[in-house]
Amino acid sequence: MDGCGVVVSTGKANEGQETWLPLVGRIAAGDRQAEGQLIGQFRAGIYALARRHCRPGDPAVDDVVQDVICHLLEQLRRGSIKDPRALPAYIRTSVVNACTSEYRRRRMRAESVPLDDVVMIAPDAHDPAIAFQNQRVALAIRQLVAEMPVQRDRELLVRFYLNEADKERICTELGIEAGHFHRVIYRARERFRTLLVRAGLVQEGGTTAPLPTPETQEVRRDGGQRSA
Amino acid sequence: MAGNGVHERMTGISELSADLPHWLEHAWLERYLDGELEAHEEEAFEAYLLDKPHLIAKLDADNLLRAAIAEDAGALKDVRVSDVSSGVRETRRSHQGPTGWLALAAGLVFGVGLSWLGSPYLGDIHAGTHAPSRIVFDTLRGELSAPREEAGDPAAPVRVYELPLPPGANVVSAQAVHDGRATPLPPASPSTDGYLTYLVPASWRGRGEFRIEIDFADGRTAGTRLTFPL
Repeated sequence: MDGCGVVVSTGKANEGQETWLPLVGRIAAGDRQAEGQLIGQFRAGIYALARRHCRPGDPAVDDVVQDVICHLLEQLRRGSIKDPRALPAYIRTSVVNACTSEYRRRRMRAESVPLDDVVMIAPDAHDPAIAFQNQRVALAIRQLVAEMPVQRDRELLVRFYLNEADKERICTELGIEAGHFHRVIYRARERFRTLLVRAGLVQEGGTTAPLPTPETQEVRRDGGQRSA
Repeated sequence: MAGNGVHERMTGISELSADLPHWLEHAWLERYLDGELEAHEEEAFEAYLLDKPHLIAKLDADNLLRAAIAEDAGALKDVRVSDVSSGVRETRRSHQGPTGWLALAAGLVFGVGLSWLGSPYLGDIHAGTHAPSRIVFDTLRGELSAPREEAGDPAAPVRVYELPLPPGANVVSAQAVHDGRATPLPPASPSTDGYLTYLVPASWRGRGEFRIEIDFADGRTAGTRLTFPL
């Protein structure tokens, strides 16, 4: 995909923008209903990015998302975002910064509380619904793994997803070509997604966020500040 | 939180404001998920996908895969096919993976002394180096639908076919007819969920069909033939 970085805007709003662009001005004008609509447009994306930038399975994602949304609404109400088309970039930056701040806070606390303990303790670990979902996800991953006959391919998954090693290093260490790396990862990804769809954890076509999102959770009005 | 100067930074990464063609979106996504984007590209793509549910769903599936591996990394080393069959109800036996079908295929092939396929077809099969395509005929309900193909290594000398049987059916005989030649296949027993698995040379693709003669234990129908395109 050469030229990724030089794709130039046509100046035309995309389909998503056509929906939320007008909302930016309405929010600045005090339209509270528009706030809900705009957050509805971006909530799933914010969650997905927060999960991406947080540690796997980290329950702090919910707090990160709340912080981002609260901060975003503040800025929108003030009319601080001058170019509404830049809103996604603004949100993306906010998510990354919020995740970074979260882990910076943890590092400061880490002397008294082992970081791994903090990460692995989910607040709703005993929620039957969450437990059921986790069980289905675990089965899906085992199913996926069972379909991988070559130990080296499993090792590839571990190094890429768990150890977060980069592609070149993995290829070098495992003695495989980049094409093979991509095939293994791509197939695993697609197969896992199929298994999630079958298990009802992801909808085909991606119309909803696949992981539980606190849709009913109200946006906090405290400016997103959490006690450390 | 977004700090001072974020508006200036946004100017540089708001280039992807127009919808991309599907193929280009897909290429971006794959490179993004593979960790191959430069920092500024990653920044731009993450902003781009924020209001696109189809991309978000794929990203989140990848997030979940990452989380599941982190949660159960031992599974990647310890899991056996038998661990899965008792737990994932939607799983067909034949979908328990290449481990299962390679073993089965090997059993089929060596069980008939390579006579029905011939060693020239099979001399290059190595589980570790080739991942054959898998063609799955999903249902016998109503008209036979197009099979689902799980792409494999194009260089693989064989393809794996999974053929569904009606409930209670027994295989009387099976053959693959290709280029006008009939090659007998072992009359394999269907799995508990009613699928046969056959391994045939990839070169036969599109050049004939499977013919499976079945009957039923209760004798309600005799001499039924099922055909599946190669």
